[in-house]
Order: sequence, then structure tokens, then C-alpha cells
Amino acid sequence: MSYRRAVSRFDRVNQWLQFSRQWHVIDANQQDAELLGDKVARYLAGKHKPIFHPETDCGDHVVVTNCKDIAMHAFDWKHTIYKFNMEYPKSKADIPAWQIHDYDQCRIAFLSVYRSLGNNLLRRRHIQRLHLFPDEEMAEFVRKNIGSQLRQVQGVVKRSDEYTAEERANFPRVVKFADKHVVDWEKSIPNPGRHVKPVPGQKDK
Amino acid sequence: MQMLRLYASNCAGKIKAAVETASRLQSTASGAAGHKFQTKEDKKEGTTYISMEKVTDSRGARKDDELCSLCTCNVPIKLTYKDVLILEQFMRDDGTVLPRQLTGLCKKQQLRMERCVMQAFWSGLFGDKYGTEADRAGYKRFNRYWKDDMSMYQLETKQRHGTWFYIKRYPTKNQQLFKNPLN
Repeated sequence: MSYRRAVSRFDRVNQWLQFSRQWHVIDANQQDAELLGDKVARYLAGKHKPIFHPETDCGDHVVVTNCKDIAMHAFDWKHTIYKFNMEYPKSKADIPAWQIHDYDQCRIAFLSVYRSLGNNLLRRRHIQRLHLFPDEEMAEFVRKNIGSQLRQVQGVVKRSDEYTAEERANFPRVVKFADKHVVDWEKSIPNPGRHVKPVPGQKDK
Repeated sequence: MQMLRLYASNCAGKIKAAVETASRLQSTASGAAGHKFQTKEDKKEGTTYISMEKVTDSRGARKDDELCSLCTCNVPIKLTYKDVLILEQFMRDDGTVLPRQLTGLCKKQQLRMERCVMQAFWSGLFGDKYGTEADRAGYKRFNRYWKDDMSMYQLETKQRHGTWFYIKRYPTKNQQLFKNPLN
């Protein structure tokens, strides 16, 4: 009976997943806002599927967690200016990115994805499938729907206090001192404090 | 040889620190090539003897023909701000960077290492290891990354179109965003 089966069971399931709307989850911890927005926008618009067409709405849902830990390059937190303008009086506002992030922890991720989706008629429909959470807690129905995890756009940098003593001891030494090297020489001089001028008439106080 | 005699152990630490500071200033001012002093303590019958012994360190000022630690490989090593275990070997216990005389690096690598240490501090990769007095106000407490060690000098302002769709979709009426809130 194997000669009659044109498509295997695995391919059949993949074909079903192709035409249905999957739910992906991605961790935004230490991810660049613009790169993350480009990747999420691809999945919201369905551009990762071979059946993609500009008029075919085949996008998937994307859940973004840890939005409060999103990252930006160098000084972009204060040099990225978001311009709000509705052409009404008193509606113009130029707000730096860090103030928006201070006010609402999910808005920077939303603005990045919204920008990456492009200016087209389907943008509002695609952005409806974006689900943003400031940390790892989410609604239960969202957690149940998730069926896939996206790879992060850049690596998460390990902090210094996250290394164990064994890893630190096994790490090779780059600096090699001489045999008679005095380690005390590199220690800092303790701060002697500010000089206080004695009150006239009282010498030792 | 300088010999000091102390009868009480309470002020031994203070005088020891003072003697170390004085000897360091003396050796720095004299311009001696690598002469240092090491503290030696002896305790006899309740008396603490502290003496400063002159130690001739074999590493003096860095020679020009000496290879630096980061240039010895055939494969070019590019130090980044993520290599915190390498950067900490060039740092003192209070977070400052050792001079070139001690690290043995060439000038280019020394300057790059100093830039990477700055970037690691700005990204918060050292945590609270070197104290909590780092400036984390405003935008400095959010996550940042650096493409290379010269990113701190390449400054540009980016203009982004801010959309009101988020504000309409997720109403934030209870919080004041502008002076005259429109939502």
C-alpha cells in the first residue's frame, strides 16, 4: 500500500500547518528593537510561507515576551526620536525612545513592528495578531495556543556575576606577571577623605 | 630597611596602609625602574613588627620589542565588551584599568581594551561587582549593546514616525502622557 501514498504523514501535517495560523513566541531579552521588529513583521505578514502573496492574508500570531528588556544600540535610547503629529493644535510631540519605554514597556516593541510592517492596507490587520507582554507572564489562552518558538535575532550577553567560580578559574590567563610580582601594587589607595581646615584657636579639632 | 614597632594591633592596619601609600609615592617619585616595596609582618610576644622590603620586580617599563598579550596569536583577536572574563584581568578591584606598564599591551590594544571596559560598564555587564555608584539614570538603565568598540563615537539621531494606533487600541486614560492629554 506504500506506493499509493503520495504524501507522507509528516508532510501532510506540515501542509496543514502551512495553511493554518500558528502561534510563535519569541523572547525580546537583549534583542535589538529594529531587528526584532523586522523578524516579527515577517511572520505577522506571512512572508515566511511559500504561499505568500501580497493579497493573501496568511500571517501567523506572534507572542513577544520580556518586552521590558528590549535593547537598542549604543545611544539610540536617547537619539531615537518618535515624532507624533496629527496636524491639530497641541498634538505635535517629539519623544525620545527611553521616555516612551519608561512610560509603557511594550510600546517600543509595538512601534518597531508597526514600522517594519510597511505602509500598506493590511498593516492594521497584521498588527492585530501581535501579542506583547512586558515579562514572561501571559494569559492562559495565549500560552495554550503557542506551538512554535522563534530564534532570537542576536545573542544574549552573559553578565560577569553569572559566571561561576569554576568557570572563572578554568578561564585562561591573558596577563602573565613575573615571579616576583607584587600584587599589592595594583590595589587602590584608600580614599583619605576631604581635608577639613581646623577651626582657628583649636588646633587638633 | 625601615623598621617600625607597634605595641597595639588596633592601629596596625592604619599605619600599614599609611606606610604602603608613602612607599608607593616614594617609588613613583624616584623614577626607579621597577623598584617596589613589599610589607612584611612579624609577631613576637604580642608585638607586631612591620618592615618594608625592597622587591626588584623583573617587569619594568614595557619594551618596544616586547609582544603584547593580545597580539601574540596568528589569528587576530578582537576584544569586545562581551568578554568580561578577559576584561576583568586588566582591572583593579575598584573597577579602574591597569596601566600599560603592567598589562604589557601595545598602545592600540590598550586603548581598545579601555573602550571595551567602558562599554561593558555602560551595558551593566559587571553588575554590582565594582560598586553601585554607576550612573543608571534615565536611558542608562535600559539594555544596550555595541557593534564594535568605536560605536561610542558614531552618533546619529534617528527620526521615527510615532503612531497613534497603539494609543487608540490600548487606551491609557488613567496616565498622563502629555500636558494636555488628547486620549
